[in-house]
Amino acid sequence: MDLQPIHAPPTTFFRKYLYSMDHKVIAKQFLWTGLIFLAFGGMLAMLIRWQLAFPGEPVPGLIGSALLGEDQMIGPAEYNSLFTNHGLIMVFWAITPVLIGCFGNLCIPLMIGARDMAFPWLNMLSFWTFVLSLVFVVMGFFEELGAAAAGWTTYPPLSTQIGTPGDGQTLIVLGLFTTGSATIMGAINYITTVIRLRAPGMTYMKMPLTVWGLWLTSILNLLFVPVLGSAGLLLVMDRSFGTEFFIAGASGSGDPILFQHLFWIFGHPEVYILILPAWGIIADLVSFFSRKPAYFYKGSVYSMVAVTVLSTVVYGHHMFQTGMNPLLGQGFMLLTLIISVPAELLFLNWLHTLWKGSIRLTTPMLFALGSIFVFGLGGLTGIYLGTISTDIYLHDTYFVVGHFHFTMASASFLAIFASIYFWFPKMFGRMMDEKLGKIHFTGTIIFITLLFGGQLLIGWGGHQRRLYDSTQYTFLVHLADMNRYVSYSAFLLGIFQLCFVVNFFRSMSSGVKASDNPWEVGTLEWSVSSPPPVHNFDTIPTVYHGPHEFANPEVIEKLGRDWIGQHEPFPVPETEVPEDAGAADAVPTEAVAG
Amino acid sequence: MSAGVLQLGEEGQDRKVSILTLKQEKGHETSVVGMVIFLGSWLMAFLALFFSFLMIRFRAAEWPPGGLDTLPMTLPIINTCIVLFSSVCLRKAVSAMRIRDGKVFRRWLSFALGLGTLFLALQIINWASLWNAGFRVDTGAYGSFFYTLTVFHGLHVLAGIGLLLWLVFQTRSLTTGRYERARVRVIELFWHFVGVVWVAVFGLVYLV
Repeated sequence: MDLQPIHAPPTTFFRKYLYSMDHKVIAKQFLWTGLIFLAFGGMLAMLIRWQLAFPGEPVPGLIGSALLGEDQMIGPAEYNSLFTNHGLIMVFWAITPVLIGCFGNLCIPLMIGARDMAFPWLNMLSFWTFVLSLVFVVMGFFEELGAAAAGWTTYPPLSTQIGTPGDGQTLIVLGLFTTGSATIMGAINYITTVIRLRAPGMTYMKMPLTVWGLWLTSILNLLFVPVLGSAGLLLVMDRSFGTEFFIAGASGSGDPILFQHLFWIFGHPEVYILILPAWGIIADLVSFFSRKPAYFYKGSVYSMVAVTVLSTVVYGHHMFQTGMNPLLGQGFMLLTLIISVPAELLFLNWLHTLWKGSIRLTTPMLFALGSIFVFGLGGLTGIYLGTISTDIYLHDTYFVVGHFHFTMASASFLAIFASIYFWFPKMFGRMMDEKLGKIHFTGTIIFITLLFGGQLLIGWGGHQRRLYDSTQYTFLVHLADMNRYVSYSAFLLGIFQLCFVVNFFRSMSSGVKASDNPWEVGTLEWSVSSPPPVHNFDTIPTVYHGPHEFANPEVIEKLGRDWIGQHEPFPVPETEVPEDAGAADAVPTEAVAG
Repeated sequence: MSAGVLQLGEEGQDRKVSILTLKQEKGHETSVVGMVIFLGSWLMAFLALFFSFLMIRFRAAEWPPGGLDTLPMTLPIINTCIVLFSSVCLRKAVSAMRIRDGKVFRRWLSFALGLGTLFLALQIINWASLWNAGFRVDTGAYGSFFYTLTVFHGLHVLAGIGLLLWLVFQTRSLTTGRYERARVRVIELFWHFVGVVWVAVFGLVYLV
């Protein structure tokens, strides 16, 4: 049996676009659904900001009348639904499908030189399971007692029948369970593909950092999404079958804190799940557009591995306030602060890559730089929250909201935009408009910084998160102007995203035709046509170089360009000795045995 | 594999290139790798449930809570033995497959399948008798955990029985190609996993 056969391209519409097993089509399916829900989640955020800026005033225009009924008012219960669904939709149904679903599917096989995923059928099943979860989410909005309203963390007792009666909350937990299954299927596929289907010569230390990021993310997804699945299972049992896992006191012998443990055992790896692919993409893009090899490539890889390992043992810093043993708290604090060391190394590697590079400020590069900037801000504010003495004061304030919106929201989204601008030619065969892209970037980076920077300041001023109307509290009245300015930033940020929407659709139909390798980089996906044929590679390429082979003087002299493809044998004997011994050396005995 | 790759292997330019080519030609192993990865994921789902149980268990003032009697142990002990024997039977079947003895393979496979079904039948009897005796899902956290853990595990046994049944019908003529062997190994892994999980569930629910 041939491991990677060339299948005939599908002919019917049904096989080609709907039930496609081609990883590139599935990537686009994830992209479309993810972008639609990104827009939806963004709109929910606008409504939240409206309520915070103008408490109790009717939402103007079509949005108000279409979404909120006759009086166009956001009531307290609706407000709870808004921030709950905004958070969950953005994390699970916008960032995850675009960053991991779309770019994981698109990049992994193409970048490692495979014809498709290891299990194409499972890949298709993953997407349609994801669609099923969307059905649960959308159904929640049509429930009589409203959509889920227990916050994105769905802590009991708020999320039990007592706190949120009605099926909206049950549906969203079922949605989480279903989308989690889809994520696990994807993760199994990604991990197996990277282990089994790398092209000859593509050792682990020659993989693009994008693939490293996506691979490590998949490992975290594989191991920790099931924990959320179990938590969701227990919660649904409590809600629908009368069990007492999270019900304490006279009516039960369970413990609500148990859910917080389960949630954050999953939840802390989750924030790294959302940022690791972004880190990988940023590291690659910075090297590509500085026309320099990535500085200390192995250091970046080991940093990402270290972050992956450490991310599994720091979850307790979300629970400093639950009355945990102080010794345990200090342990979690120490581990949390240690995680900034590998992150710092990664950061320095990016800066070193930029240093004295021939920087090309294309739109993807700008977004990558923007992502570095906001991640820096978010990372620094994380130190305050990881330290118990400051966290006690900042816990559950807008400081936390600003912090995680800088890290897992802004940094991920800017990396998503960088990836869309960068791989658009490979997906759709056309270039996106650079001018509109740069306008989009300028507006986005300014207002995203003002928006979440403002939230940090408000939080520092003592403004709790999830408050329906902060003007009711005298000690927060003086923050009302600040809240309004943050909201204006949010609205402007939303308006600037229209540039992207226009650019996306216009480029798809009438953009400049892309050449095979418009960005002049050497990774394998740029060695095939744009868009690639169904089987990706006519001949599985053989890999000779690392992913960032730029500015090699010999190559410049012989070939007249500053880059060389990973698959191009360079006539001059290699001076660089491949160093990755660990992965390949174990093979011979195994190979003989098989 | 493609011609270009083979040529390169013959020229021996790069040792690692030829090693990776060899590695990829063992494509039948991909599904086994995928299954091991999948079971890693599923193990975490069960570990999360075990963690939950242990947390509630060791924070409780008395156990079983609310003055309940300890649960009867006869059926579960028998079931644990059945699970272990069933795994051994499947192991025997796979050994028979290795030496391409189709008759012995199917015999041991049927034993494994029969024991799996017997396990599930005894479980159902056990659930029914406890339920009728008033021990239900809402009988405190102990009842909640007992039914959730055992039923969740029972569903996996059901899935395993389905897979074994499929195997019995699929392998009427035992062609021990690499692909078929990989399929049997994948299902074997799942069955052993379900067995190991039962031992853990038994230990937690009855002994801790």
